[in-house]
Amino acid sequence: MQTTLPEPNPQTKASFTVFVNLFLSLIIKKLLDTALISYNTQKLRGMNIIFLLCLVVILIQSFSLFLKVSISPTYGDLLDVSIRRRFRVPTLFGAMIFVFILLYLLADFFSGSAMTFVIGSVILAFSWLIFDFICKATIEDYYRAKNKPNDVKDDLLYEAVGLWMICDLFLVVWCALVIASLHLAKITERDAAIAMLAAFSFLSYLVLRSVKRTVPNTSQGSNSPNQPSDNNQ
Amino acid sequence: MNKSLHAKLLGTSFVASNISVATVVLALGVVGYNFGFWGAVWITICWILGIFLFAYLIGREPIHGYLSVGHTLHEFIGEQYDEPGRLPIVRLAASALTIFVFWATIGIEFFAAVIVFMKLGGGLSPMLMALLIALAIIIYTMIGGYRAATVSDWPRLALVTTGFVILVAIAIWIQHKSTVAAEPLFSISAVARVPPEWAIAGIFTLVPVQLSGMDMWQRCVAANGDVPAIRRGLLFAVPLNLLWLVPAYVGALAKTLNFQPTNVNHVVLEVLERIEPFIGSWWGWAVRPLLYASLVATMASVIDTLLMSLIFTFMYDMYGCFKKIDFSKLTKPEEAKMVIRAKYWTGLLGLSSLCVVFAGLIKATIYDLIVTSFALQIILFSPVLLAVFARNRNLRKRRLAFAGLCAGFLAAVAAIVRFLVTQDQRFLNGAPIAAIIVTFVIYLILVLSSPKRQVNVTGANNAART
Repeated sequence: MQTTLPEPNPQTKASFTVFVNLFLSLIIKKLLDTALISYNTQKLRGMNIIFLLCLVVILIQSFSLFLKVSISPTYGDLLDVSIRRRFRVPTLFGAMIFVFILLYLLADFFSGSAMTFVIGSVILAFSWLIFDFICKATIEDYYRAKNKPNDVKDDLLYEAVGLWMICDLFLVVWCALVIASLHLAKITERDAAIAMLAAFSFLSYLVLRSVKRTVPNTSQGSNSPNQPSDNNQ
Repeated sequence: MNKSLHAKLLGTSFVASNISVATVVLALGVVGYNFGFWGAVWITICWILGIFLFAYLIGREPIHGYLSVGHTLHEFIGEQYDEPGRLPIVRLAASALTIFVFWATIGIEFFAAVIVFMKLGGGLSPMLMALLIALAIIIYTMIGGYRAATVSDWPRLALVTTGFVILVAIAIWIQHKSTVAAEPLFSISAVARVPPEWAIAGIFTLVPVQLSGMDMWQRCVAANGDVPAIRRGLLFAVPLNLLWLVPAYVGALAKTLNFQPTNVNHVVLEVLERIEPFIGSWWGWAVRPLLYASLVATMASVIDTLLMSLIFTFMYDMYGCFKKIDFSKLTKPEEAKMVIRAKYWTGLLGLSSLCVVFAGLIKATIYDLIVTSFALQIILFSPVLLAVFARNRNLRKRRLAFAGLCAGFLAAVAAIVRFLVTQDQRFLNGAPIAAIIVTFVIYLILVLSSPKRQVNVTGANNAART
C-alpha cells in the first residue's frame, strides 16, 4: 500500500535556494574582504593566492552543483517529503550550515599558514562526507516514504551522491598526507598549496561530471524517481 | 589485415609502456652505479627471457584459447581455480592484486616526475610540474581511452629514443673528456661487481613479470589473440629494450669516474646536472627541453597504458563480478552508464595514485618502491604457469588458490616491511623470491592434490569460447 505523499510546495525549494545562495554570498564577501586586507597589508604571498584559488574552485563547484542538483526531480520532491519525516532535513540543514561555517572560516584563514589551511580542508572534507552521507540517507528515507525502498538504486541523484562520498573520502586521505609531508618538512608550503589546488580542481571536475549526466536523464523523465520501474524493463 | 604493421604497432606498444622513468631512467642508473654495467646487462637478459617465456606460453593451451576469445588474465585464473556458481574469490583476489600493483606503479612514475623536476626543474616547483603532467595524462586517458593511449605510442617512442640518444651522447662525451677511470667499466673483471644473490633475485623478479602483467594480456587480446602477430611484435620489441642500457651506462660511468652523488637514487640526473656548465647555452634552449619532452613522453606511455589496464581490471573483473553483470548482454543505456562510471574511476584512481608521491617523499625511495611493485605483481605467475602445465587436472580448489595468493602477498609485504625497519638490503632482494616461492609451493600442493579432469581439454576450451 502506498502512503499519500504531500504535494510539492515551491516555497520549500525557494527558501532552501535563498538560504544556500545567502550563505555562499556571505562566504564570497568574506573571501574578498580577507584578500583585500591582506593585499593592503602586503601579507599576501604566492602560496596564499593559490589557497584563494582553491576557495574560488570550491565556491564555483558549490554553486554549479547546487544549480544542477536543484533541477533534479528527486530534489524537489525530496525536500517536501523528507522535511515532514523524522529529523532528516533538519540534520541536512545542520550539516550544511556546518560546511558553510567551515568555508567561511577558511575564507578568513587562507592568508595564514599552509598548515592551518590544510587542517581546515581536512575538517571540511570530513564534514562534506557527513553531509553527503546524510543526503544519501535522506534520499533512502524518501523512497521508504513512497513504499519503494528498492527503487532507490535506480535514482541517479542517489548514485551521484555515492560517488561524491568517495571523492570526500579521498580528499580526507589526501589532506592527511599533505599534512604529514608538511609536518616532516618534505614539501614546502607552496607545494602543499599546489597539491591542494590540484585535488580540489580535479575532484570538482569529477563531481560536476557525475551530475552532468544525472540532470538530462531525470529531466527527460526516463529515470524519474516516480517511474523507477521503467528502468527495470 | 596488414600483419607486419600490426606487429610493429604491438611492438611499439610493448616497448613504450615498458620504458618508464622510474624503472629505466632512475632505477637502472642506480643498478649501473651500484653493480656496474654488467649488472644492467644481466637484468636486461632476464627481462628478455621473460618476453620469450611469455611469447612461448601464449601459443599453448589453455592460454591461447582464452586470449582468442578476449578473456583477461584474471578471468583465466578464475576459470581455472574458482568453482562455478560461487563467489569467484580467486579472480577477485588476483584482480585486486593487479589493481594495487598498477595503482602503485602509476604513483611511482609520478614520484619519479617529482624527482626529475627537483633535479632539472630550472626554478619551477617540482610538485606543480608533476601535478600538471599527472592531470594532463589522466584527463586525456579519461577522454580518449585505449585508442588515445595506443595511437600516441609511436611519436612518444620517437621522443623517448631522442632522449636516450642525447643521454648516451653526453655519457660518451664525458668518458672521452675524463682522465683515468677508478673502476673498470666494460672489462670482464667488472662482472665481479654483480652480487650473486642480487643476480638470482633478478631472475625471480624479471622472468615471470611479463606473464603476470594484465597490460601484456590486454594487448594480446587487442590483437585478437593472433599469436604469430603478437610474437612478431614481441620480437620487434626485444632490440628496442636495449635502450635500457643507456641510463645504466651513465650510472656505471659515474661510478667508474669516482663521481659521488648526493643521492645514489638520482645518479643519472646528477650526472646531467654536472654536464650543464659544459654545454653552455645549448643546455637551456635545446638539450634540456628535449630531455624534458623525452621524460614526459616516457611517463605518459607508461601511465596511460597502466591506467587503462587498471580501469579495465577494476570495471570488468571486480565491479562486474560483484554486481554480476553480463557484459555481453548490456543494453546501450547500460553500456553508456558503465562508460561514464569507468571514466569516473579512471580519474579517481589516477589522482589517488599521486598519494604514492607523498609516501615516497616521507619514507621510501624509487628503487624500494619498484622492487615492491614487482614482488607483488609476480605472485600471479605461479597460478598461470601451473594452469598451463597441469591442464589435465581439475584445479578448482578456490580456497587453497585464494590462500596461495594471500600467502604470496603477505610474504612479499613482510620482507619489505622488514627491509624498511632494518634497512638490510637482503630483505629487499628477498621479497620477490619469497613471494614467488611461497605462492609456487602452495599452488604445487594444489596441483598435486587435484584429481584428473573427467572431460577432455578441447571440450573445456570450446566451452570457454562459447
